[in-house]
Amino acid sequence: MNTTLLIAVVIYEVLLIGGIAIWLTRQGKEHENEDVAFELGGRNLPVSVIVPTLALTVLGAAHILGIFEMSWFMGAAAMWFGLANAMALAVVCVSTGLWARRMGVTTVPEMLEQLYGEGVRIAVSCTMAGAIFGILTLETQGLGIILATMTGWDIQSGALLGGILGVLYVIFAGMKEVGWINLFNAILMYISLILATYFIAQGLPNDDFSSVTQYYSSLDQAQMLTIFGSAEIMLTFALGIVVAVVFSVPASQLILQVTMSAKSEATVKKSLWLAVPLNGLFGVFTIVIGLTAKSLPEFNELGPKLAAPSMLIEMLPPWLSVMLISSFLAAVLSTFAMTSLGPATIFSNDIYKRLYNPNASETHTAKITRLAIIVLAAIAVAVATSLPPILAAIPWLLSWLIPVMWLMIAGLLWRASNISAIITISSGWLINMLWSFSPLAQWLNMEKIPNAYAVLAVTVVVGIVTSLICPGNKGYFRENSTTANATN
Amino acid sequence: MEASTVTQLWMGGVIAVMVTYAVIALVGLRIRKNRT
Repeated sequence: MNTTLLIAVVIYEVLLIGGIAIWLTRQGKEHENEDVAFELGGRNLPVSVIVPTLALTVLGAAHILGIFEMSWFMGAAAMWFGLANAMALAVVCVSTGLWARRMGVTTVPEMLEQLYGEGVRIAVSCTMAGAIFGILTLETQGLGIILATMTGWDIQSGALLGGILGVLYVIFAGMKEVGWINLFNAILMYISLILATYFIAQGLPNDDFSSVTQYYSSLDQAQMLTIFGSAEIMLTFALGIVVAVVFSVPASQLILQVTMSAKSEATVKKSLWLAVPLNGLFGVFTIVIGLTAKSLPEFNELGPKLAAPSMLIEMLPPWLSVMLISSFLAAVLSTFAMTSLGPATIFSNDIYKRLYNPNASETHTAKITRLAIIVLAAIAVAVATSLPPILAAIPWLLSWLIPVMWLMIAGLLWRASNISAIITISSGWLINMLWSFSPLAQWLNMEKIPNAYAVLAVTVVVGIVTSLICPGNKGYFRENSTTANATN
Repeated sequence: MEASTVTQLWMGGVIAVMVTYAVIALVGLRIRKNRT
């Protein structure tokens, strides 16, 4: 790709980020001391900002680079990755997102302290921050790959430029900044995706995708064109990814920080109707692009990693390439911003403010959050070249959050037992470690079973048994029925 | 599923971040205990 294109993309990102940052900084002087202004946008963000932020937070490198590559091997069944995230968003908008907003907390660990005490808060802080940081490293790698593809640079330089843009995305005004930039980027993203699909179809024989269908049918691979793929793909990939995502993402600081920032619970509920399709439909476009690239001989010979990006550059007019690449970059940058803001907020609120400086002002805490964002982003950039494939790594990371999801559901709706909580999270995290670092799965003849299944099974069994045996209180919402029914 | 070497190294890095947070928290707990 040429330098003009790169300059155009970077100018777009810098102008958008800079413009919104200046506007919010001017506004911010009036709201400097409002409650959690930096981390949660003053808990006052409207539907128009919450919708794109929910959709884009869980739409990053894996949705673009991962799905391009996956569709090469498993066809339209790769859509399950996108569907799993859309399902998780729906769960957030009807349950965990509302609960987090209702409890008036700033972080998920803070919520858990109200149910189980300080020990659980600290343990979950450390683990959740690490797991989200892991996603940050993968997003940084994604930024590096996208920019390297555009420029011919090495991934490290691409990651550095991407890291700088990512930090700028969040550092000036925090959550409010991420939200407003996302609104503009989500609009750009859908306009460019629809136009790109149209232009690609125009470049194919018959001006439509019938030649793509014929290609797969002629190879006797009609299953590549259906999201149900083969039975094996459904059992090993589709169900595995749905379990890993749906039982972890809804309990993550990454996504709940967005709903905590909403103006009201009604804002979160309304967001469901747009955020879920906005997120879920993205995969449809990337799969169409991936399948088409494989069906064209000139791109097929480039292999799964390069075929789709090369096709986009070759087949689209330059102005649309700029729009599309900018929107892909924006999708990854928004996830980068939230995955750096999440662990930084946990650090400033659950560790620094809770243990070191309980009287810290909002302004001081925001400074610590900004500092933590820069440190975390710098480490992520530094390790960006030595990382595993994005999709191989994500299920392991998400598995760390499955026991946290259990704690949230049990503690709010059923029983909150401190001892049970400690035993359950320890067991869940231990099995995740053993499944990856020891031959346990091999001994049990379960090598093909993903971490998420093992962690979910252990968490639920240990969680139920220990909750029944150990002393504890009624679930938070059962004891506080007024809070349980709150609507605002 | 047992992971490849690169993946295991990266997993080790993620765990190192978790441990760093834990160490900072434990130091904070100790300082707070000494204060009271």
